[in-house]
Amino acid sequence: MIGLDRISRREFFKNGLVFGAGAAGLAAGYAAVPDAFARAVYFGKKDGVTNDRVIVMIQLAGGNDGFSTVIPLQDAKLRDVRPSLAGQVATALPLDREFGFNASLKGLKALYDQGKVAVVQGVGYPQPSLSHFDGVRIWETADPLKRQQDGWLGRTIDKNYDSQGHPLVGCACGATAIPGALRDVRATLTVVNSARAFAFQGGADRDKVVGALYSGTPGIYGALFDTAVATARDTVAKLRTAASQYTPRASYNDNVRLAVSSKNQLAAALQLAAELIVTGLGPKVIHVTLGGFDTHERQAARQDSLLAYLDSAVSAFYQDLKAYGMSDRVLVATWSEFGRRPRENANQGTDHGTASPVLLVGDTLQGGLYGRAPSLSALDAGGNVKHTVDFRSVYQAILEDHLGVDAHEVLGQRFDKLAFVKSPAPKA
Amino acid sequence: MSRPTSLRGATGPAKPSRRKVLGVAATAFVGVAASRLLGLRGLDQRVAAASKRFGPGLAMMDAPESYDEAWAAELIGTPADPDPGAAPAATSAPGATSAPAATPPSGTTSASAAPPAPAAASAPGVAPRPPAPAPPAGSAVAPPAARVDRGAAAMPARGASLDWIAPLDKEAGRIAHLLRRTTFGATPEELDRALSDGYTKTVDRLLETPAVAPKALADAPSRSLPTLQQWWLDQMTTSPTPFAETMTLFWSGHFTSDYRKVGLQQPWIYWQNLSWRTMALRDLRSILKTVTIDPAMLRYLDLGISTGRAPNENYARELMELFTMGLGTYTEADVQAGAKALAGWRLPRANEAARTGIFDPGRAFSGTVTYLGKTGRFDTDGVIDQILAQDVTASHLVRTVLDSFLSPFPSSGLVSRLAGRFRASKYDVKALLRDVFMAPEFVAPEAYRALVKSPVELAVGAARALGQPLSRLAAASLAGMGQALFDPPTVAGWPAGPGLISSNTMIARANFAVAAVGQVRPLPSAANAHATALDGVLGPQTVALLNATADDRARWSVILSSPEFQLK
Repeated sequence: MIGLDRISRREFFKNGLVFGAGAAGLAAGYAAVPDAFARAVYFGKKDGVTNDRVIVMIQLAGGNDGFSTVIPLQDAKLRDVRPSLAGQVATALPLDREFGFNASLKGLKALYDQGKVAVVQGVGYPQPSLSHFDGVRIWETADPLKRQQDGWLGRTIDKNYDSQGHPLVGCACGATAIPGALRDVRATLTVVNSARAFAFQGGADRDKVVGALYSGTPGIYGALFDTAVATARDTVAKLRTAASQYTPRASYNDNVRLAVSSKNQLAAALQLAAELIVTGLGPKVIHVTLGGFDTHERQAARQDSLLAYLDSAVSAFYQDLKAYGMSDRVLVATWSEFGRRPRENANQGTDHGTASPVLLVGDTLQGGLYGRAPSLSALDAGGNVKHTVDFRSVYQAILEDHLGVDAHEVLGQRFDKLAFVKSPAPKA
Repeated sequence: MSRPTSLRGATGPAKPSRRKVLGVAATAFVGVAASRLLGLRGLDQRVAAASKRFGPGLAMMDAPESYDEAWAAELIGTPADPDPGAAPAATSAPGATSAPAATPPSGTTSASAAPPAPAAASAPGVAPRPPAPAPPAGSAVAPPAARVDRGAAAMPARGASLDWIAPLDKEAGRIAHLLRRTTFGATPEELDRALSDGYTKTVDRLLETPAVAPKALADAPSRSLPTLQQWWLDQMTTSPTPFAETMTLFWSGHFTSDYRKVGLQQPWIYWQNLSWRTMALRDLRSILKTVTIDPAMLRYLDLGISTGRAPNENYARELMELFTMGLGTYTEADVQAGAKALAGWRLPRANEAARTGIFDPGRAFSGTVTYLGKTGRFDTDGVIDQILAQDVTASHLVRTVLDSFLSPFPSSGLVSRLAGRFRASKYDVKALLRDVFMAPEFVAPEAYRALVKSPVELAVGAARALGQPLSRLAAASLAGMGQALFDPPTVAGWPAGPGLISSNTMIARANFAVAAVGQVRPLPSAANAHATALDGVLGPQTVALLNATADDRARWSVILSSPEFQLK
């Protein structure tokens, strides 16, 4: 679908070029650089947005409990409201005198000690919603007033990168549907559930047949169908090139014991993300999901096993990128629609709550604790904590400092500055 | 009823050439483009509405690649067929009269004189087509209306912007439309029967025929997930009452549970499937009671472990947010009060005969609560009654039903009309569905292909079209298409509409079609499949590719992968 006419029409060469690894298989209009893993410098729509930074957002779906992720070690109130969970304090991995990681986060603790992990505590927004779907939408659109339709990552792509014909600029890995955070009416996005299954079966020309069937499709879904098929064909071609150039340099493992089995293969999704990054396919924004955090009952067993899974997959991802010399361009950040109620229910679980911490991993970070842990002594009327950091402050720092794009344009307003990025994106 | 077949390879004396068919496609394009200019097509508004409703995701795309017959033939692997001088072609909707391409236009949507090349040329990216006489209106080779300006200036100039020509002005077209949405697409026998019964009697039969119970699944507790999925897919494909299966699927997407949390050691998730089928057309009050104390639901949303002393809010919240009233219609205090009032149920033990939860007063809450504005002692029935006393409940359920059966963007007038009648009927679901199927909006042109078939509908529809169950293949393919049975992604169920369309799901759908065609032996003749499976309302690409096919296998493969077959 990449035609020279379109590239020239869009003045492709004016602002930047794509340097792809072993670009033999890439379409005309790309320039190859000899170094097999040269930095992919993605085309930016704007001057200055020609850096090689990538953001990987990991959704912890269901509402991750903050108090069991970053555990307050000194707060006596925790034992009062959480008799069955307070045992986690004893096994916590101390980050400082006051806070410790859940014992399952061993890999992240090691990275924290190397200064590669930032933790922002108390992240939420005013008048919090306790609905999964409302909360997800608010975090996805970065708009608690719910006027915004497009996702914040989709808007980022639309306003800063040329996604047309380059569907991997924004990619959901390990999913079948476009996540709300990536959605944008003007951005082309790809969704790859499993890299192995992502190919047209039925003969060599099958993708062309399907492409022909979905050209100028009539009706209200026509454009949506046609875009999805064109994106799929484009992505298949690019993945075929990439697959031969990438061997994981860390051990990704989805065979984990979970209290409730997972719908998502997080390690495989992150391995695919690494493949896209190191083979120079030019991803800027990647979204993956790990579900199962809605721990209304038997929370400790469920959440600990999920956090161990997260820890192992993220650690492998970081080590893989590091082995490829690319960990200094990729930032990983978690998000969850809400935290959970401080007081546990009768089922050794917790109900829907409000603020919770965001974990960030990457070499561009100044590791450490940011924000302020929410107080257990000042709960709202529903028995939930009050947030101390607006989640859009986190987004703002990711956009402005890590990706080097105009955060105000994406978020619509300014938020308190968080300074967890120590190596801002280079300005062109 | 005559169902003329005129595509190449179709049976019958008239065997048109590809050139002729393409000519018709071009003709239709020009003609409908003209009619569009006369204001007879409202795709702009529909797209605007869709855009508003779907918001993001309704992305545009590049102008279609141009191609010619030889190219299409090459793709399909057939040598070009000269076949000169064959009869003119027109694919046709069931019940529509076949008219040769040169027939003067008739009916309301035709243009008296087709603007020649400029109309086509005004659509950038569409290959110029030979000028041709105006088409018969309502003819079924459907493409096209003029381009639509999608509004936003920032929008790239993409998108096809043509609309289907709805055959819903014909009884046969309306019946096929109805059966596509209520029975996974009719088998030829079912279609014949419905055509002889007529639309209204067919609606009555759908609603009044009691659900045939599925073949019992022996040893349900020890069954694996694929076995359970195949068992249900078999029911959907072969049941004499496919509407009951459609409704079971509908309620399973609305009142969700997943096997991961519920587990397969107990037969609960299997019981739930049987239970949803039995309750499907009852009144909402008894449906909500059934749902609330269903063992799989008690497990899935934790009501089975909630107590009055320390209530678990999970079910109380989703009961209002997802199942009945909708977000923003209740307060957090209502969630907490509802959780207290609902507490007291526990799961049945293996040695108990009951297939529902057991109420244990010792676990219940005994005090008063204020729930949805009313203070008193509420039990489960009291909570349900209070929910049914809210105005929002009827319209929330009506929207849910319309999302699956009519259109994702119904007018507010339609919603309030149906909601008023639904409530007046004491929430009789059967009466509501009758109102939906009999509504003029159900058979209005805007409703035609206004819904995306869910992956299950696609897979079961393909199996029914091919005359052979494909349950094993379907069970293995549905997750990639986004609809694993007994395993919805969230408590809100499976995605719908545009949420079903992504690069990943389109590959999975196309691959399913190829695999399905590859394993059915023998394949039924595809000669008439464009009429039976696609209403004879085809876009030009589908026409071109069908005409380049050499055999039934290639033809079925195109039919089942076509955009037309993905819609209902």
